[in-house]
Amino acid sequence: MKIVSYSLMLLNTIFILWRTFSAGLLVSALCMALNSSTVFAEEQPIAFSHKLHAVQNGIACQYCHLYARRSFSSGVPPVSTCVGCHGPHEQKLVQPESKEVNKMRDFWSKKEPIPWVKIHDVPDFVRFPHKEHINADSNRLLDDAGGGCDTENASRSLECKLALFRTGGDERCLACHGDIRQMDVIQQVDENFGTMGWCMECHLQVKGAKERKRTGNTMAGWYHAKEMNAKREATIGLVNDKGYHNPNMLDCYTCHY
Amino acid sequence: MERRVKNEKEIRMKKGLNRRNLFKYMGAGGATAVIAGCEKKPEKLIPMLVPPTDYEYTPHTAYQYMTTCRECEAACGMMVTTRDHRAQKAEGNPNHPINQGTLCARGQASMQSLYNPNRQAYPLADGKQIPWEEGMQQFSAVIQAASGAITYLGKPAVGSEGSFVDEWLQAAGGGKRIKFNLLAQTSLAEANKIAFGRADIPEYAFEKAGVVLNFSTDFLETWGNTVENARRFADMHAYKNGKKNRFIHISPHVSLTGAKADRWVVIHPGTEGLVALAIASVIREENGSHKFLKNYLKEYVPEKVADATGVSAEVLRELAKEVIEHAPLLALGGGNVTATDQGVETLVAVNILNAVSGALDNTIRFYDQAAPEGSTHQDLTQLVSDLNAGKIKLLIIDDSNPVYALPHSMGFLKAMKKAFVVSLASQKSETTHAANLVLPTLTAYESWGDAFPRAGVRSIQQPVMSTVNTFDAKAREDILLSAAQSANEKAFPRNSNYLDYLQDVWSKIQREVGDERNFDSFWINVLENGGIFEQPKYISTSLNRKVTSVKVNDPGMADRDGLTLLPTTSLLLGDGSGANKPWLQEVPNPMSQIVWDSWMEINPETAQKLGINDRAIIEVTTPHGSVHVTAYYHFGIHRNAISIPMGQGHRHSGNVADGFGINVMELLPNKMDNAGSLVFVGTQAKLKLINEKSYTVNTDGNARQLGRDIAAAATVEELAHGGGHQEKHNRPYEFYPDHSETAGYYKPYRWGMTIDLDRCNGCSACVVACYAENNLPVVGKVRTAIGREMSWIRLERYIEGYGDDFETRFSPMLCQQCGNAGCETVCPVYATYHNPEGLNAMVYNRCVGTRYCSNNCAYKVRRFNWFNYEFPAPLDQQLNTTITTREVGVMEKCTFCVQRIKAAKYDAKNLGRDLEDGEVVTACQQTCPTKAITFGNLMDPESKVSKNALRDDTEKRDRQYEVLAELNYKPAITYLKKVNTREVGGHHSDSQGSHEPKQTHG
Repeated sequence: MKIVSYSLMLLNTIFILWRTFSAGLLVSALCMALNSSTVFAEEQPIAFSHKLHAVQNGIACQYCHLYARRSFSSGVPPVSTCVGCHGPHEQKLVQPESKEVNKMRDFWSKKEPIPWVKIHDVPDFVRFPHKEHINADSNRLLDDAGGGCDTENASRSLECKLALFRTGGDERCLACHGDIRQMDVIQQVDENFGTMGWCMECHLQVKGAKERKRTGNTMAGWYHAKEMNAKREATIGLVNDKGYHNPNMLDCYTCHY
Repeated sequence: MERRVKNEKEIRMKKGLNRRNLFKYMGAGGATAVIAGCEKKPEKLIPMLVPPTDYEYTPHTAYQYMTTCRECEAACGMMVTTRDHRAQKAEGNPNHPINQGTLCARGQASMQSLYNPNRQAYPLADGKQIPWEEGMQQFSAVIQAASGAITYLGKPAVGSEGSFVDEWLQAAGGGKRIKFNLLAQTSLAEANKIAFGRADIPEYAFEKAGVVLNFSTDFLETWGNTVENARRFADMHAYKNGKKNRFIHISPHVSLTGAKADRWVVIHPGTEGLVALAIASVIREENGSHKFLKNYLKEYVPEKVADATGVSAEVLRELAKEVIEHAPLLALGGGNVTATDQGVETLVAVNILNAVSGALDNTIRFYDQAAPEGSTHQDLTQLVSDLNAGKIKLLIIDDSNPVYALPHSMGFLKAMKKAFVVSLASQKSETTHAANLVLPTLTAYESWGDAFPRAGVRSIQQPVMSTVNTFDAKAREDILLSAAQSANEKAFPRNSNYLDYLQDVWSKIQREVGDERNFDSFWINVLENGGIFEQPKYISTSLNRKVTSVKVNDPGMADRDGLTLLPTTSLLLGDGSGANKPWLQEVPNPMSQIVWDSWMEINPETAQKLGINDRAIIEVTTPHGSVHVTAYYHFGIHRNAISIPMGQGHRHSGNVADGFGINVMELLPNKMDNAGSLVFVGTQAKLKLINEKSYTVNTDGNARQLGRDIAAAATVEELAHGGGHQEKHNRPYEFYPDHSETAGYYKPYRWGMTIDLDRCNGCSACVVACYAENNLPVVGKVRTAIGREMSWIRLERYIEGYGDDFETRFSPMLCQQCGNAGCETVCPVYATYHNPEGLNAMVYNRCVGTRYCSNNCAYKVRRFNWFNYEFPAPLDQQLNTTITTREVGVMEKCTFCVQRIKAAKYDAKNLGRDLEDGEVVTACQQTCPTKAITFGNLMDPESKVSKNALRDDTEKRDRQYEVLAELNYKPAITYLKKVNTREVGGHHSDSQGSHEPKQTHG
């Protein structure tokens, strides 16, 4: 009898565990922790080189990723964008003999989209607006943020990312995605890309963010809150120099809804 | 349909775990199972082949298109939000004079006629799938073979489609068009013709009236344009400046409309006309107008009709006095309950009352242009006999469902078999099931059309997206056009498709309105605005002297053997066309709170005499048929009557509609009144108890408030003396300071809402809007029964008082976004917390599903995902892509439409400013026809919501209250009390609760 009841208890525990984790969300969070130790790259259907296009030919990021400043998604360029320069099989223009470009022309003549493999993937429960980042005002960063960038030795340090972000334009894309311009094969350079800690690294470098964090929904925030109110609000960066309220980037509802 | 619950019709949901998987995971052990699920499978990025270039397109961005709602004949303007080329949300067109930006529940749910999995997906010949070419060949062949013996049965045309079909019939060799609409206003038009010489539907200017006498119409549900009626009625009836206008419901039945009344006068079924004339006779005596009516009205003085109507002469005189006192009057008559065999006479009597009391040209005004055509059911009788005689070879049934909707005693289904029947329909129905050839048509969302519902309103219907890819359908008019052109080369020489035809019509309209531009810019302008809207012109009318020849008789139904059957209309399902939409089935009927079912309303007194308990299964038998239906105790019904709502009891309309409830048309005779409208009232029913218990599911726990004052009310007198004002609840000493005193909170926004219960009429449009906006799953009848419905906003209905003097209160209940929430403090993982803008944020990816929050929520507004609910394709295409669709194991609840707040904030930030009042509109607020809901920033003293919630003027202050304020949850929603003109009988016995006869139970 004892064995039966123990095994039933075990079964029950396993079941409850399974039920909990089958929520999917937790699974992906756990998996992210388990999988984040490797730099991530995959074989793509076409050996497309960002280096060739962006550096040697000087094409701006947003020439192809045209929705980055307008939408949540940056937009994988439609096949017609490729054909626009390279031409279809019938009328080969740029690189008429290239094996890889011909693969693209094959897709075009079959009227099939190219099944690119997603490398930079934020979890589905995050709403990441490309446009808000491309259009963001870099004056909101702390005045000294990005000052100590050492490009030689630590090009992916926080300081260097902030410096890239501050520069604006296409450099801003590199702040998160890494130096795509030097990549023949697209890869994810930051080990923890897409995790919340990785996002918050930069978001805490915004004026008032750290102070605001301390006034969050914890008891520390309540403690003597009334007395500290005026002082805190002055340092918290609630209002910017243009006279409107800065968006709060620490609230969960900023990205998770 | 899930196999496991094959007999319980439900929307399908994925089963979390099956036996096989359980053993598999058990073997591997829990932890291994978790890791095994971790192989990183990279997602694919699939680009477009060619981006759309004909208009600007940005992914994840909302585009709005104006069109027209075609769910009923009212033809409200609609503004459809599309994202990534998929229509995702329907809202009212703010330019449209009829609905002014709002929509009703059915309009909101029209989204589900577009994406309904039970749409007709391909052409059928005798039930077998055929390719389109073959279908069109067959169609052309039968047109030629019929050589003019064609009958076209469709809805009454509101726009150009009527003249198009008429022309088409000519081109096809001749034939007849029959207009069929179950809920028609033909009798009203006929009565107006007799009384005023205008066979038309006038404008009802509620807002000008001081008193509304409602003779059994359901003007807030299905009668006329309900959205416009609701708005104008609320403007008239809502409490303002210390005054409240009167609304008196004179009827044997209290529907949702009657529930708003200040007083219910119970009359015998079918005696509305007598009551109207009795009141008219007293008023005429007083004001001495219309001398030619003197002798006529003498026949109807209160003393003479008191017996027949069941209303004492004193009450009738009192009503007349009230009308004189509160003039101007607006008397309304019509709808199902007045549709007796003297339906026209009844409505003429109401017209006489309006004329005598001076309502004509004041609260009732006729337009200078005629209304769109009505339906004529007399033609249907002729059609049935023609069919039986073999005179008709081809019957085309266009998007209507006569097999279901006509009284079965008419024998339509049998007669239909005598002809070749072609059904043009977008949805599966009993009619498509019985048709020889079915050609699937597009819905209004995917096709062209227009509507001219009344003078001054010309509304355009444009495709807002390309066709839904799972359905191989074509536009109805294009099917007709190409069939006619292949049968007759000369047909429609100028038009290659219906759009051409439509543009011809609209170029005439352009000349009419005197627009000088070229047609293309005019057309673009029309599409942008949703149509052409002008101030209507009115004409003056007077009462025809010949009305004296109209005799209103005592129908004597109350004395007959058995109970009079009143087939009432259904707010949500309409004439039955709504039954295949999961939202409309899932949303509880606001009056009975019953889901996925039919019921029979019976007065508790009668029921107890007959030995029928609440929720017993009853066999209702009339001379024409019998059905089994659940008894539902309702004070609001005459003691010698029962009522059964229309709309349920489908057999071949797809798995959402089939098998739920019963079809009341099976009980009705094949009978018409003088105008050719179906006679609904006049059948006596016998009841027989079948079973003590039925499986009927309702969402209200208790119909009584039990002293909780959730839906509170104050009387006009109380408010006049400041008596309604509740002192602010004495807050207990608090350990923590208020959020408003904490740095970082509520700067600059504290989102809040006010709900004016005096304006709310319980129409449930907000509930459906929330389903549409927030990706709420439909769980079905069985899971609703165990309390797992997922609605974020619900319409609570409470009953006060007993017997004829009862009162119904409605209160929309949603997450109160408490400042001191019960849910936040008990969450072990901070998945729910108070956000700096006062929202009670719910972070799905943090939630582990302990459900403590739901336990601790006093308002019971939190919903748990017990399953991964499925949205059967193509319903998934409707899902709002700007929010997360929740998975199994997480809590969810109203977010105050945080996605809309976010979108507005992004826009404002990019413009370099803060949000302004009115820029964020929640889905429920947006669709509310009476504007009962206000939403905005409580920190802005000038915002509308602050003025409603915080302002210290007596009118608002005395009506403000928080639900369950004593709990000190500090809700962000302030309700404004309903204002009554009376104390309800038995109000004070409320707190004891147990005294009541069994009204409803959970």
